Amino acid sequence: MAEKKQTVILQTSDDEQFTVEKVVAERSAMIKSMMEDLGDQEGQAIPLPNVSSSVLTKILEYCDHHKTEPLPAPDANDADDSRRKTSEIGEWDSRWIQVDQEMLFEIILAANYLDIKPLLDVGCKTVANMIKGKTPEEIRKLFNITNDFTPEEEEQIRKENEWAEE
Amino acid sequence: MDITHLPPSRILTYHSHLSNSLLPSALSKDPSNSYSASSTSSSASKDRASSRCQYHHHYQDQGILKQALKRNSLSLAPRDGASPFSTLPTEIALSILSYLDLPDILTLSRASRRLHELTRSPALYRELMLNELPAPIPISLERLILPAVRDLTLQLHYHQYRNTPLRTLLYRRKPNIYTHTHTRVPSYRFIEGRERGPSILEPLLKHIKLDQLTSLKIPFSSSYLPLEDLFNILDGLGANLRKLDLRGSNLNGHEWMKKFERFSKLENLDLAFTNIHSLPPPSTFKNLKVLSLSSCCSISPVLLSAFLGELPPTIEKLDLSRLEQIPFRALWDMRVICPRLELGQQGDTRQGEGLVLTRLREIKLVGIDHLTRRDIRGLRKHWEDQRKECIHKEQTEFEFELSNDLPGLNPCEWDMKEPRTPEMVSRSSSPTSSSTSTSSSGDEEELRTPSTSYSQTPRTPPPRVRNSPDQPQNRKITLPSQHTFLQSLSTSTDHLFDPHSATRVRYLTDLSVKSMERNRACLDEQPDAVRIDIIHSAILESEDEDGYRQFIGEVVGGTLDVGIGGGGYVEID
Repeated sequence: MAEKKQTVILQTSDDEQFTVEKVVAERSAMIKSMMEDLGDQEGQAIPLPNVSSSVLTKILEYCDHHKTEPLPAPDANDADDSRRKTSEIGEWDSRWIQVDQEMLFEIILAANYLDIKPLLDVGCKTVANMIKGKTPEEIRKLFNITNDFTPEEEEQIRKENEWAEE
Repeated sequence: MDITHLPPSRILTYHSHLSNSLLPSALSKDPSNSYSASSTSSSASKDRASSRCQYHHHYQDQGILKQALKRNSLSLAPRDGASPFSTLPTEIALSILSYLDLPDILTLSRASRRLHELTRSPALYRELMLNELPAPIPISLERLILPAVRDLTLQLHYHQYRNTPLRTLLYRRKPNIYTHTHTRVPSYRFIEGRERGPSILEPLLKHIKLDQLTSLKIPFSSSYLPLEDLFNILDGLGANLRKLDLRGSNLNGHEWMKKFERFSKLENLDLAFTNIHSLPPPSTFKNLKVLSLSSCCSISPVLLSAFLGELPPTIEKLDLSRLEQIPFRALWDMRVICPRLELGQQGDTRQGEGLVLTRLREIKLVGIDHLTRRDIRGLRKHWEDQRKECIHKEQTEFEFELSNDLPGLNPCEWDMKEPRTPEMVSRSSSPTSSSTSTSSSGDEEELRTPSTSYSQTPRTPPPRVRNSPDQPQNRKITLPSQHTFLQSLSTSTDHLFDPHSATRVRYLTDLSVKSMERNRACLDEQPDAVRIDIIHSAILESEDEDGYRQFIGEVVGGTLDVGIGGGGYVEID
């Protein structure tokens, strides 16, 4: 605990600065590669113009919790079938992701920007779970979606998909 | 204190006064509390103070967290009227959709134009599992879904065992779609008298790009898919096929092998419960990882033995369950190590010097009644010994090659009590045990010898395939027979006493250094690299009938005295 940990400084869109343990920041493949590019420049802040401080705070909490886990392989696309198949979210993650919708979508966008694959998965699965089992009308209400179909169009699509309805 | 064991809120509070640099130290949006990065050392104490304050502010009082939880349970969209979904890039939106089942995707498509557009992406329909045939094929299935399918599973045998009203269970992951239209898949046996029209799968398959499928699973199709139709489907499949599940299909006899020649990328093959009589040469499957032959009772023991002796080295899992006809000897001689493959000059692979472990990790031997627990233990030890020796040899080979001009005769690995005859040398080129000095016959008792004698001959000579690359005939590992013995005797002795071994030693030197490094790495990474898991159902200890009776009697009578007076029959793992 007493030993000095290596840190990195992150600067958010609202000009907040965060001093973060490197092993935590490395969860983001984007920050990791930036740190590698920057080399060992003490005190050099990494700008994150697409992330606000409130979102970064939340995300760093996630990164800190998962900092001891192995980083996913950069080309893990086909190999991670098992990860894709399940829509289950870990217990800590599901508690952590219980935020309002605005924050949820901001986390997803930031995870995409920061390139934190497991976090992006957690976010996407959470949204998918919100959609499951709902009617079109419920989905519209949930996400503030305007129904821009004409009644004829809507009827046609309904008919096309009828076979898959309960 | 290890902070990883603490709940997040406590991490933050504990941390903040221990170190200012472990965690994000500026949280508040209040500008008076924020600080600049340049003040790394001078303002350290100030940082500490401010960060502690902030953490307390944000987290120690769990109120905010609770509020967040409460809000989420309502999952309300932002009040400003914007749809958060519309802010997502297409790529992410599709990623979300990829976690949805088919009915949810189709429901979503009715919500808005943009969502409808998103659900048109073929990427969402790569996998399809169909438990019944919808009739007629719905238009969205026909135009949108079927052409996109790359991974098809047809479980049409399902409902034949149900009395419930037939429903189409159509889903990608979970069975939760029901339709009003359906066809019962007729058993073709009932319509055989009539002139048979096109396959009942025809209306479905004609929309699927068979040649692009990477996975096809049609388990237990024998009741509705005649061999002829199955062959037609196989003919339509492309070379990209990686998984094929034809469990319980009408495959039989020998002809089927020809259909498989094209599938060189096949990784996963299930032929269980079929009536096949033959097995393709192992060279057919260069990438096969998982193979099931369980309950294929028509494969002859000789064929099985030959196949196991030349098992494709890529196989990781092998299912031989309920193959009652399998001789113990065939398992004993199964290939668990193989000659290393090297890239030849024309880019083709050829067998090089030395041996490496095959990838076999798991073998299923469930329901083979003649296997006893003693057999299983013997097999496990025998296989693992071969592998250990293989790794050990790779590491000692280097020095040995320099000090001895006769590779293949490493004295330390041979039981010195046994006379080293030329025949021993020849035997070493096939993975047989040392316990029988003559080639084995089909005699059952003879075949059992290895299992009972492994403890008396602790050092089993390893299979040796040590030929220079220009002697291909000796590489073949076949079921030992008088003929092959004689053949290998002549070639291997010629080779072993080859006077021109100087160049070969140099060649080997290069190779062994490389392989030593690799094997050492392999051992470091996986200490159980030699291990082969055996899944079996053997409950009886030995074949000895009296022993059985005594064992069973003791078990039933409750008088079994394990470990003290158990006699020769009871051996506890």
